[in-house]
Order: sequence, then structure tokens, then C-alpha cells
Amino acid sequence: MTSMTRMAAVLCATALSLGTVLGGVQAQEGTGSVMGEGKELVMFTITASNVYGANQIKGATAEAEKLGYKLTVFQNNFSQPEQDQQVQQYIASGAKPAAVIFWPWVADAAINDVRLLSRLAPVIQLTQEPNEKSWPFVQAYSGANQILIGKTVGEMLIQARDAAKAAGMEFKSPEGNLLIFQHPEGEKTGTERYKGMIEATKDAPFNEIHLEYGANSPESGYEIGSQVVPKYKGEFDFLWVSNQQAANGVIRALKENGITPGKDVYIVSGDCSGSLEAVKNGETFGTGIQPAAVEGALAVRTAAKFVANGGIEGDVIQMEVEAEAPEIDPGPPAKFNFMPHAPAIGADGVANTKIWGYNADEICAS
Amino acid sequence: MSEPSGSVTAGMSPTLQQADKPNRPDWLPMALVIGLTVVAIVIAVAVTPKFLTVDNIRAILRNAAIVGIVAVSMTPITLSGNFVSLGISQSAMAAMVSFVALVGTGMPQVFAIVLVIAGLVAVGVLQGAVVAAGLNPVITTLAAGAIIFGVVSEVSGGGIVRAGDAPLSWGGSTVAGIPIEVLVFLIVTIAVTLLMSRTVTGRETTLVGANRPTAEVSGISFTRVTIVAFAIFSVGLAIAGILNGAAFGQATAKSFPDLTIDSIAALLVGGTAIAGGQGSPLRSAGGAILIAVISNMMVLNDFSTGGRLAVQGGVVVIVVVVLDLMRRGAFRR
Amino acid sequence: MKPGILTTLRPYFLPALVLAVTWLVIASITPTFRGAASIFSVLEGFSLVGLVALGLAATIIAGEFDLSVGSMAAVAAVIAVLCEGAGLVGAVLIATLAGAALGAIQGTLIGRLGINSLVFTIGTLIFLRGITYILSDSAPIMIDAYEITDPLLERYGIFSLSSLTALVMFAIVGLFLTYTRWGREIFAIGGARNEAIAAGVPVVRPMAIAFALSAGCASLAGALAAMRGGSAAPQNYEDLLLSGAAAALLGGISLYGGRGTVFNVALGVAVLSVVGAGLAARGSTASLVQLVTGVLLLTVITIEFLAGRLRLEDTVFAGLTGRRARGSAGAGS
Repeated sequence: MTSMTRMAAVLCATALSLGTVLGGVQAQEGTGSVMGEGKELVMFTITASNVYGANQIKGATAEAEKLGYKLTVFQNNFSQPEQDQQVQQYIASGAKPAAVIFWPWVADAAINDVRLLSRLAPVIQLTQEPNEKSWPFVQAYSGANQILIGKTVGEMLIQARDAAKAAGMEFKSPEGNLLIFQHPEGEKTGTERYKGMIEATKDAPFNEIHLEYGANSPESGYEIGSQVVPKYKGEFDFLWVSNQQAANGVIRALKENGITPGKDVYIVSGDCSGSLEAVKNGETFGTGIQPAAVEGALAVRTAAKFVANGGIEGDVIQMEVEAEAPEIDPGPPAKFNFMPHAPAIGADGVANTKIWGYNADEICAS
Repeated sequence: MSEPSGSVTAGMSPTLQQADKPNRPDWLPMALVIGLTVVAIVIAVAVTPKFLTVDNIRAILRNAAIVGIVAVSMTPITLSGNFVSLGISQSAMAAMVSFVALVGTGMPQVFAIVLVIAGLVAVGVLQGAVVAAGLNPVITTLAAGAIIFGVVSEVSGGGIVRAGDAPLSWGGSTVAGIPIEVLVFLIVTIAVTLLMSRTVTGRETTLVGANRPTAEVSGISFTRVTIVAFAIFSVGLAIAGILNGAAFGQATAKSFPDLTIDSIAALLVGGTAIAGGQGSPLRSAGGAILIAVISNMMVLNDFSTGGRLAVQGGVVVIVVVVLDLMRRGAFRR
Repeated sequence: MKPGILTTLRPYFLPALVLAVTWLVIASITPTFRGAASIFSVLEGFSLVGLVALGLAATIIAGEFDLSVGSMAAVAAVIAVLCEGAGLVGAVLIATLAGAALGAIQGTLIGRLGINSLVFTIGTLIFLRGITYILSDSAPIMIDAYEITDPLLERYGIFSLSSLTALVMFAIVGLFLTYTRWGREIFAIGGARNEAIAAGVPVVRPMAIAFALSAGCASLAGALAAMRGGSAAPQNYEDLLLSGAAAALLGGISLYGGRGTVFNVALGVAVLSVVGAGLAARGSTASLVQLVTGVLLLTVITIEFLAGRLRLEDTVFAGLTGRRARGSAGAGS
């Protein structure tokens, strides 16, 4: 009985792989135009009840409208099974999109989703880079360059250390003790940024005393902060929080424990999604401007470029930080299409930020 | 009219357990809760160095406060024999979202508070009326919760509701060193406890829960008691939502994700009987604090998320079983 | 006295009507939800919500309620992924049997201790969620050799392996409940427990079986979903309780216990599937689905209640309530 099942499984696997090869990754004819003319795009991403998700969806929707594509967005509440179900239901409904824009909630876990979707249409993955298992089914990556973001965090931490020294702060260890509140466990965003941060600070590394997972919203930031901060009170000089929304929650916990952010500890946030009050008033030393709206728009552009050209060309296209959105380049996308990213330190940094027509508050808070 | 007996979610007919008078004195479950808390604290202090600090005690009370407010306010519903509400998270969330939204429109906060409380009471009384008419309370509140969630989600577009430019952070402040939510927790506990023990309606609530046919024969109106219970509960939910809204300055349709389970657990651990007729809001407050103490102990001792949940669930099961056995005199000599 | 075909079909009139109306409405507003694609989508719903509703219905028929089905699905999902080395069938089988065993333990305890299942399963809901976190180390876990899941990704006309498995389970459970003595015991303790006990029906065995069914079906659902998706995460499936309960009740399983068939459950699942898949095809959010589910649920239990109150059992509308008229030779009621 078992050998029958195994043989059936092998047969199915062979059929599936053949089907995938033939159906998913075939050389396509490009349509020749980045304009959609009413063709469908589908996007799977996180919920709009999270600032980052909300902005990303807004940017993608606006760009799709500009290019004449009809965009359907499926949001999951940070749940891979929910996303799995959405993918399966969408495929079952018989829709025929020109391309799929996919943010796998747990990149390593969404392999079956990517396989199924790739049979339907070319898949552009955003925000989380594909791993070696899913690359065969994904055409291109479009979105944040998490290593770059991590490097930016490292650079900001170094600047914070200099500022703290200049202000006369005494560190708990020669290079400063670092407490980290990272994205939920299993999320590649956190691990990639961590790699970047370590790389950027390798000449004078910080002393990392603790890394806690799970902070990506004000509520989770506060919940985790109010439990972890008392444990390490008086032991850390620097704090790296995943994003500014979580940092806002952590700041509340710090204050409740009698710690003054910006004076007793210096905070850096990886990306700025969330209200920027704390950056403007100095409680947060600096944040990374990661325009989710630009990421969404860029993903739609990448999809349109792929559909227009039928394939990719080259390894990396890194979009530069530009004050106004550049015209869409009708050429084919690369394998990695990175969106612009820049640090913003203090109130001045926030005031001077402008990317693709958005200012800091529009990028981060709304 | 003979109602089917023995079914757990069906009519309010007295079960075999309630027909007997409790063989144990009424204060014994409370003594059990207090005893457990004392034992827990002693163990905690012995095992955990940072437990007995002012910061930590404050953190415990803070954690207990919101859940405590809700558990205390829900106790009248349970006392009256209407089990529990499974729509707690959604209603509190609706209060939080509407409060933040109203403040965001520039409305003076006092008006916003009154409106939110009134709105929640209206929705709650509606559910109470439906339940009083005879619909199953567990399912009614489950369905109502889903509807409330859906409505708020659609209206808010699933996004984040903010208080706009109005700085909204008094929810995180302290009064004479006591966090404001702890103060409110204390006030609500005292108020609801007095309501249940010192007013006619309060005592009627417990009587109806203990033995509905007898109570109704004596002229007590199950409808009125139920509606009042749901009203009190709604006020508590509104307060919880307003406090959190005032603390974070923003809200989403997914706020308060664990509130339903946590409040029910607090109420049960506190010793109020699910079938009605026994218990008090004071015990529910005690249950909330006990759970917060245990949770805090585990955090300080580096328990994993799973470990904490498993222990919390285990505590609920054990306490509930023991209390139930005691109520039925299983430990009678 | 064999009932005529019309009498047998009566309990299904209302749910069938709701199904037809819902399908028409959804199909008319969603162009892609038509024909074979729509039937496939609806059948797909049976493998997750359907199985959960099936098991939950068993406990409702027994006069109880298993609140822990969501956590059970989550545990099973994690176990299935951890056991990927046993192959597709092996992993699903292990997870399902583990769940059924846990359910049997729950049912035995509830039956032996005579404790309210609502209260008990709130505790186990939390406890099992904790176990899920512990087993998965608080993080999502994925299948390494994802090729073993390929059979689940195939589509056979309007069926998939998942939906076929679910339909087979429906058939097995349906036959068990109706045609075996153990199955009929479940009806007996649900419909009129005291009378059943007096007549010599055991309580613990049918209780254990009912909860084993509930846990086992939920585990099968979770395991299948995990293998199909390729991963499991500890915090998932919290919404399954609402969907499962809604499906069971929508289809006509009575909260009073003691009656209902798997066809009722199937109809209810179909309605929810139509709503879920139909709205999903339009890119609607999960919150809208919850809203519609809540409204449908309230509507159906209100109709069931009103029909009962207006004493429609004696009229041609008896089918609406599923209750037999008073004085008829209805067994077990």
C-alpha cells in the first residue's frame, strides 16, 4: 500500500514539475507595452490595518490605475494559512491575471503558494526575497533591499554612539550595549536586516545583550517592551526596534519604567512605518525611510515591465532616492529590483525627506 | 413545558448541581483564589529576584487592569445564568476605534466618552434583549461579535484609525503614581461589586441565575435582569476601549485580539460559576490579578510563549474543575 | 412506521433555501463565481471548515460544545509538519489520531467529572494553543521535502484530494451516528440526558466519542491544510470556531442537542463556503465574510427560535425547526 502511494506521489511530483516547467516558466511573448489596457493584476500582501501594508496597497493601487491595470488585492492578517487559503481560492475561481504580485508572509513556508501561482501567471515577489527553493517559480523580486536597510541601521547606530559619547553618556560596555526588538520570528525581514547591521558595524561591533522577537506594531511593541524592558533596565545603552510603529510602543514602555529615550538610551528604528513624532522630538535618534507606497508602486511597475517584455534582463536595478517619481522605464526588469531607501536622523532628517513625491509623514505615518 | 435537560448551551433550566444548596460555605472558592494567589506570590518572590519591585508590581497591575475591568463587568451576565459573551474582543475594539475616531474629528473628549459608552450600551442592550427573549447567549454574542467586527472593518477600510492631530496619550498616565487604568479597574470593581450585593437588581441577578423558575415566580423579571447585566457589561467594555484608545492614540479593527479568552479565563479562575447563581465581581478581579501574577512570574523566568499559554490553560482547567467539584460537595467529608 | 420522503427532507428545507438564495446572490454579483469553478470552490471549503463543523456538530448533538477546535487544528497542523518524514498519508494520519486521542481524553474527563464543557474547553483551548507554540518553538515551521505534498495540489474536475477526504469523513461519521448503537447514544445524551441516564444509557462513552470526533475532525482539517500549504504556524486557525459553529448551526443542527444529521452540517458548510469563496473571488476582505457569516447565523437561529415559539411544529412548517410535533412517536425527545 505504501509503495503504491509512494509511486503515485512520485508520478504526481513528476507531472507537477513537468507541468510547472512547461506552464510556469515558459518563455513568454511580451505585449510590447507597459500599459495594462484593462488586464488584471492580483496582489497578495499583509493587512491594511498595519501602516506598512496600508501604504503599500495605496501605492500599488495608484500605480495600477496610472498604468491601466485592474488590481485585486488580498490581505492576510499575518497568517500564512490565511494566505494559503486565499491563493487556493483565487486559483479555484478561474481568474486569469497577467501577473501575480506576491508578498509571502513566511517566505520559506509559502513554497506551495508560489508553485501554484506560477502555473497561473508570472510571479513577482515583493518585500521578502525568494529563497533557493522558490526561485524556480518566481520571475523577479521587487521591493526593499533588506540588507541595505540593515546596513543603514548599523550606520545610524554608529552615529548614535558618537552623539551619545559627545553628550557625555557612559556606556555599559566599551562599544555600548545593544537591545534588539525584531520582527516576528521566522520573518526574513528581520534576519536579513540583522546581517546588514552586523556587516556595517563589524569594525566596532556593539555588545548585543538580548534579541526579542515579535515587535511590528505599537501594541506588540508595547506588550513586548513592558515585559522585556524591566528585565534589562539599566543594562542597555542602545535600542534597535524593527520599525517606528513598534518603537512608539516600546517608548511608552520605556517611559513607564523611568527611562528617558533620547537621553538614557538611544533608539534606532529599521523602517519608519508609524507616527514620526518620536523622531521629530528626538526620542528616536533615527529611522530608515522605507517608502512602502513606493514599494507597492515599484512592484506594479515591475509586473508591467515583465508583461511588456516577456522576461527579465540583468541582475540588479537599484532605484535611487529621487524627490519625484521617475517615468517608468519600458525596458525589462532585472532579477532584483530594489526600491530607494534612505536614513532620516532627527527632526531635520525627517523634514528633508522626499521620495517619489512623498514626504516623510506621507511615507511613514499615513 | 419540559425543556431537554442536561444540554449545556440550551435553556436556563436548573441543572442537577444547582438544585442542591452548596454544601460548602460560600467564601471557600474566594479563599481558594486568595490562597492560590498568596502561594503564587511566595513562590514567585522566592524564585524570581525582580518580582517584588515597585516597577514589577505596577506592570502586573497594569496587565491585569483591562482584562480585570472586562471580567468584572461581565460577571453580572454570568451570575444571571447567561453564561459568557464570546464577542468581547470585538465590542471593546469597537469602543476603542470609535473613541479614537471621534476624538480625531475634533470632538471634545468628554463628549466622545459619553457617546461611546452610550453606543456600546445600545448595542449591548440589543443583544441582552435578544438573549432575554430566549436566544442562546453564547451563539448570539458570537454572531454579534462577528457582525461588529465586519462593520467596523468595512467602515474603517481595514486601516488604522487615528486621533488625528489631537495628542491622545492620557491613557498611559498615572495619578499619584498609580497608573490610570489600575485606578479605573479599582473603581469599576468596587462599583460593580456594590451593585451586585447592595442593590435589589443586583441581588435579583444572582437569584435568577441560581434558580430561574423560582425567581420568576417570586416576580423577578429575567428580561430586566438580563438587560441590566448586558448594560453594565457594555459600560465596562466601553471603558476598556476608551482607556486603550487614550493610551495608544490609534486603533484598528484587530485591536484587543486576546481579550475574549483572557476575560473569560479571569472570570472562571476567580470562581464565578458558569451556570450562574454563584460568584461575585470581586472574585473576577481576583482572577484577573492571579492570572497576571502567574503570567508575570513566567515572563521573569524566561518561559516561552508556548510555555506561558500552556500553564495558563492548565491553571484554568485545574481551577475550574476543582471549583466545580467543590461546589458539588465532592470534597465533603 | 417509516416516515415518507417529504418528512425526511423537511429538516433540510430552511438550510437548503438559504443555500440556494446565497448562491444565487453571490453568483449574480461575482462573474467568476459560476459553473464548475464555483462548485469546486464550494467543495474546497469542506476540507477545512467542513471537517471542523462536522466534529463540532457531534458535540452539539451530544448536548455539549467544544470550544477548543481551533487550537486542536493548530496543534495537528504542527504535528503533521513535524512528521513529514512519515510521508503525506502518514503525517496526516498521525496528526489526526493524536487529535482524536486528545479529544477522547477531554470527553472522558468532561463526562466523568460532569463538568460544563464550555468551561472545560476554554481551558483546553488555551492549553492546546500553548502546546502548539511549544512544539513549533513559537515560530512557523515548514515542510522540507515539499514534493510529498504534490498530490494535494492536484485538481480532479470539481474535486481535490482534500475535499474528497472530507466528503468521505462526512459519510463515515454520518453512518456512524445514525446506524450504530454508539452513535445513537450520542443523540440520547444530547436530547434528554437525565431521561437517557435513567434509561441506562452510559454517559462517558458517547461523550468521549463525541469529543474524539470533534478533535479528530479538527485535527484532520488542520493537518490537510498544513500539508497543502506546506507550513504550520502556532497562532493560526483562531477563526475556525466561529466558522465551524456557524456552519453547523446554519445547516440546522439544533443547539438543544439530540438531533441533526451530517446533511445538516453539509448544507451549512456549503452556505459558508459559497459566502467565503464567492466574496474571496472579488478580493473582499475576511472581515466582510465574517460580517455576512454573523448575519446569516443570527438570522437562522432567530428563525429556528421563532418557529419553535410560534409552535409551528404542528404545522407544515415543522421542517423549519427540525423538531417533531409534540405527541408524535419521536424517539429520544
